[in-house]
Amino acid sequence: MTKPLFYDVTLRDGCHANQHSFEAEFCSTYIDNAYAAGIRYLEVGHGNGLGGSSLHIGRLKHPLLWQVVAEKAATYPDLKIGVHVIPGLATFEDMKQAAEMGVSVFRIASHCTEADTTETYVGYAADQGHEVWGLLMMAHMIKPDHLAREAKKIESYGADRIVFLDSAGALTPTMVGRITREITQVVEVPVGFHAHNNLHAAVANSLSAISSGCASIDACARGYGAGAGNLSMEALAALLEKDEIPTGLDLKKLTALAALLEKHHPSSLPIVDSLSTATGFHGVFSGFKPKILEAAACFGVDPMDIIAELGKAQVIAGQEDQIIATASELAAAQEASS
Amino acid sequence: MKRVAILGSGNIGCDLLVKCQETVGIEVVSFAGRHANSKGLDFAARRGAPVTDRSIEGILEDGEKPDILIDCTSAAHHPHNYNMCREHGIRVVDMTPAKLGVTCCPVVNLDRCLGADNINMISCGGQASMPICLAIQKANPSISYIEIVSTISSASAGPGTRKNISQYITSTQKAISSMLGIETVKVIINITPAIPPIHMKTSILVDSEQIASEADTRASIEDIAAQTRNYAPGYHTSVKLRSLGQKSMCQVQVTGSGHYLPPYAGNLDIINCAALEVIRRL
Repeated sequence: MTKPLFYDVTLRDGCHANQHSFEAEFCSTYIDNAYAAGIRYLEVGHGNGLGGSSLHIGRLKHPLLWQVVAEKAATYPDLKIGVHVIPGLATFEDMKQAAEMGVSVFRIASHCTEADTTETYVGYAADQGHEVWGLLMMAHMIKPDHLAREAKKIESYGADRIVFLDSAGALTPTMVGRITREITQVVEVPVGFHAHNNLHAAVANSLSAISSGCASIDACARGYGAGAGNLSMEALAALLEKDEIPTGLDLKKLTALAALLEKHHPSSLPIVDSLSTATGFHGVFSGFKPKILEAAACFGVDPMDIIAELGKAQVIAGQEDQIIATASELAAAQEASS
Repeated sequence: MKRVAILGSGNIGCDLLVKCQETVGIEVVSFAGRHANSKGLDFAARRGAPVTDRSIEGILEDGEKPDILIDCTSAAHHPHNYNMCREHGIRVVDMTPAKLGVTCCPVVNLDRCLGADNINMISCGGQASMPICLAIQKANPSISYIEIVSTISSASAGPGTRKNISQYITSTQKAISSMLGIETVKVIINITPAIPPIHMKTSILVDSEQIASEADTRASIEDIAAQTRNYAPGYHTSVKLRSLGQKSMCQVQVTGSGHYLPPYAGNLDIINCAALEVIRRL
């Protein structure tokens, strides 16, 4: 195994856990401590990235976060600050503004089958000289060879790295290994993996990704991210250290970083519960969890039924409105049968 | 009899050909593309339309010129096509996002567009959401924020759509904001590969505190949806307006007429239905 690059998505994916409410002061402290622990790539912003702040997905409570980005980019010249960009939510104008605030890594993401929607966005960021990563979300929904073809497309648009995302925490270590091998066979650029913990497999899947050839791993302090959470950064670093694989990270400081998160966000720490098991099994996007609970309460239906229906309908990330539509249909069906 | 020429032999052009040919009072006098033997030109020829593979030039060299040209090419080609039409006194219905002419959604402002020499049809998401935005605004005149989330099937999103997502968002936001005078409009689009392909869905979200009466707003939505069905028969509310705490949401589903394109492509059908309504009334 080679030394993997840790890409810290806490301040972005963690927004799903706390309803997009990180405060600027916390972000500032977090970035200082992450930097001290050896993190050099770190992502910020709304849970769904640029343009995500909306009634549909949830509003970013403290947009002043961008001032922190500008400050930290100036303080730490070797710290790369990234953003998540989904064509359909974000516009070129959003990317321009982020770049002006010191963002230097643009991670352009599409649903796993729709790589061609990233073409003009990848081109836009690459033309401005930024580092561009191409992301394929909900990677569990298609076969590895199909995913590899989509990865090849994004590489051809100019991406510097390809990351596949287990957005629903639905993959197994065997599947992650197979996908990694398929993608690394067809693309020249490094490949990364992004885990979710719905089925308790974030650590196992990430280890499988690294041993199969992934060069970077997305992770969160305390696994603080959507649904059942992401890969716990400190847990993976600890395991790698035991196996004497260098990470370049200070484990003690990483653990302190996790403790900082626990202290500031005690009521929203991700756990693996029955609902996450259901989302993982049915392949439903992790970030949907709070909205499924909200819709279930509002329409008086069982959240487990909503999850099963969303899985059947192959609903993808970004279709939050379909949670409400599904709950509404289930409620109507309940009424009709009673 | 209105003499219509269709420029652009892709999905939009072919579907409009069928719609025009099936409408009493409209005659398609020319159907133009750029490539001989293209699937679109072949389709038009088989339907008995006079075809040319020489684009706008091919249409204009014909002795009897059309009254109306429907431009189904691209925003990049539209300025040239418009200039040529202006020289020949031909009115233009613009299906591209070029926005040189007056923007039109039939249920909102058709009467005010009829004098223009260039009428722009905004975008599929614009045509699907504008009626509901209008309905919500009629019931709540001081509304200042509205959000539109359209989900279309992967099969109905062609290369042009996929390359112009950022422009689609920006121009649809601007069009709705300026036509209805709503301060902030946010547009989101999803493309889903789900099988079978989903029929276009558009959700509209607003701040609950800006809805004065849910019942009145629902009635207004049903009223405008019915008016919209006069020209786009597959336009139906699939989720009635409902408050979920801070936000209120409703959703429409747009099923296509199934002329040239399959019924799931409601996104392409509704912009064509709107264009046909404009032509009928010109």
